[in-house]
Parts: sequence; structure tokens; C-alpha cells
Amino acid sequence: MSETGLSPQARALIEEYLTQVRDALRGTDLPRSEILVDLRTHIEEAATGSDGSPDAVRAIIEDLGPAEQYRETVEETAEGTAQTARRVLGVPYDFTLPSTAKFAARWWNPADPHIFVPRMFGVGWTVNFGAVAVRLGMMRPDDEDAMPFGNVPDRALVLAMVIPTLIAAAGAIAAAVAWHGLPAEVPTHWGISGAPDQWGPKASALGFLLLMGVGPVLLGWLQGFRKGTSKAVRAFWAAGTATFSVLGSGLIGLTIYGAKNPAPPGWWSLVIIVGALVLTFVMLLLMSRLGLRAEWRQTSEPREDKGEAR
Amino acid sequence: MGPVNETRISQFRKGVVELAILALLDGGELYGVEIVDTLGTDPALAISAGTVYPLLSRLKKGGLIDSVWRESPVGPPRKYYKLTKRGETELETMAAEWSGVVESIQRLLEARKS
Repeated sequence: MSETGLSPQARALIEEYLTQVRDALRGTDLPRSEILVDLRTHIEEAATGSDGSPDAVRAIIEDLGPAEQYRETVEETAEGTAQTARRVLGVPYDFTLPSTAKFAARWWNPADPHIFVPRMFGVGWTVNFGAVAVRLGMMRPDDEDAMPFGNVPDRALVLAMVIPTLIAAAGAIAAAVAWHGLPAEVPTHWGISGAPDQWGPKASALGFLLLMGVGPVLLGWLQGFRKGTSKAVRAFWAAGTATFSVLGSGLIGLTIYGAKNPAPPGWWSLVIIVGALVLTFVMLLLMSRLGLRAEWRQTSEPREDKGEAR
Repeated sequence: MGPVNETRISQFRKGVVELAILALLDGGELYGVEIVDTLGTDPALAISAGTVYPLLSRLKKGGLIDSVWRESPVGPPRKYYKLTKRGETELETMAAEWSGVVESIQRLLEARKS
């Protein structure tokens, strides 16, 4: 791209803007240099169509918006597809902070046919429950907008938090009731056969599981009561706490049982994990369906008479 | 065809799907399955649902298309897509660009043969 016709001041403006965008992109997982090259090309191309004056360049830059806003646009475009994480030896990793947009792109993204998508945070994969729902014929790929759960009724969102709360509470009550009857050391890890292969003090073992089940529930309620929390955020919190409540309470049950009985069947822990996933899936699906129903009631229009011409 | 080749071809197909969708919607409102069916049955395009739906979502986010729920004679309402004003302008620009690119590439390919 030739830069003839651009005044030095105009060029300085471009450099200044590119530096701002570069800073704004720092800490994101986006291909920074590619984006900057594209952006430079775009501005220069647009400028060649003008008189190349600083004012013309300023107008082009204003069109793109402040650097922060430009970053958001790029991020949103990138998050439209789940496969934005980087890979090492074919395994995806992502250490950018989880955001609502990321949850929507990975955890509940019916438009993306991939069932296993990069984890929200860390190394490996997570399940795109939206793709599972589509595969099972329970949803269509475009039933949700880019940001899902926008129309879920408030009552459904509250109920969605009550379910994990009850499950976590059940675990806490079981732990309290069983406490005195438990030996000082309880199993903390089970082998494939189902036999415990690690033991630890009951206070720390049960304490950890309670924290795992009850902690997220409390955070979820706090988040839900915060002003301005979007429905999508509340829905994701409810579904996420469902996973943890089943894992926490399930493992408390397994610990109590394992302390008194030599070897619970090996598939117990598998049942707990599958149960956690299934409950999470069912909750996401139900919230989505309820949201869609509400949306259809509000906005559905009759069929257009589409005629022949097409 | 090696995997490298396949990726390369799917790469450049992906670039034109956007144009294909906009051009298709220029003829009037369509719902997702209609778009997928039309684009999928064209063997040269061979575009799958997995490509179309994320793209529809992105085009909508970018304000080039919009959607509306319409009742269906069978089952739940369908999401129909249509071009926005911006989408129409974008389609005009892209179509012009496209013709230019096709002409140039065609010329290069023909020059290669002779």
C-alpha cells in the first residue's frame, strides 16, 4: 500500500491510534500483530480514497471508535466461534479470564456443532451443551442469539438457583448428621475399583467438599442479587453451581458411605460426575426453552405471504 | 487430496459464504434450514450447517442481517433472516469487489494456460 498523499500529521495520527489499539489488545488471547496489520491496511486504504489530510484520517479513526471499543468489536467477532483458544500439541489452552461472552461461545452455543470445545479457563476441553441439545434434536442451531437466555422469566432464574441450593444443603445436612458417627480419618480418594486409596482427617475432607458445594451457591446468590446482573450471567451461575452442588454433595455421600463400608462400587464416582453433567445440561436446556417461549409469545409474527417471486 | 489442500480450500470457501448468504437473502426472507439447504445442495459451495449458523449469528451481530420469529404451520416458530439497509449496501460493495476479483483471477489463470 503506498502512503503517498498522506501528510506526516495524518500518518502520526494513524501510528497513535495503532499504539492505542495495541495497548488495548494486551492481555487478550487475540492474534495482535495480524489484527494491527489488518487495521493499518484498512485505515490506509480508506485514506487513499480521501484527500489524505489529518482531518480525513481523524474521521476514519472516529468511525472505528476508541481503541477499547475496537478491541471489544474484535473480541466479539472472535468469540463468535468457539475455536479461538490457542493449542499446544493439539490440546487447546486458554488463560484469558472467563467472560459471559466466552460462556456463551463455549458452554451454550447451539450454533457451533462442536461438542468438545476449549475449556473456559485452563488446558483441555469442556462440553458445549448447546451442541448436545442440537444433536439430540431438542434445539435448532439458531434458536439462541449470540447472547443467550435474554428472555428467561425471572421466576425460572430464581428456581434455577434454588435447585443447586437444595442439593448443596442436603450435602451439608448429611455431613452434620453423620459427623459424630464418623471416624477421625475418612476416605478422600477412590481407586478405579471403588476402594478408597487415600484417607485424611474428616474435618478437612468434609470441609473441602462443603466449600465445593456450598461456596458456588452462595456466590451465585450474591451475583444474582447484584444490580444490573444480566439474565445470561444468572443462568450461567445457576447451571455452574448445579455442577458443583452435585459433585460436592455426591462426594460427601460417598465419603460417609466409604467411612463405614469397605468398598463402595467403582461406578459410584462415575454416577456422580455424569449426574452433575446431566443436571447442568437439563437446567441450561430448560432455561433456554423457557426463554424462547417467552420470546415467541412477545415477538412471534404471523407467516408472511411470501409469493412466488424468489 | 491432502489435508493441507482441504484446509486451504475450506479457508477460501469460508470467505465467500458470507457473500453467498447476503446474496441469497437479497431475494427475500429465509429461515435457517432453507439457507443451509440452498447452500448445501450446491456442490461447488458445499457449505455445512456448522459453517452457516455461526456466520448468521455473526452477520446479525454486525448489523448486516436481522431476524424475526414467524409462526410455522408445523412445530415451533421459525427464525427468519433478512437483509438490513446496511446489509444491502454491504452486499452491493462486496458484489462489485467480487466481480473484480473473479475477472482478475480468471485472467491470470487463462494467461497461465497459453
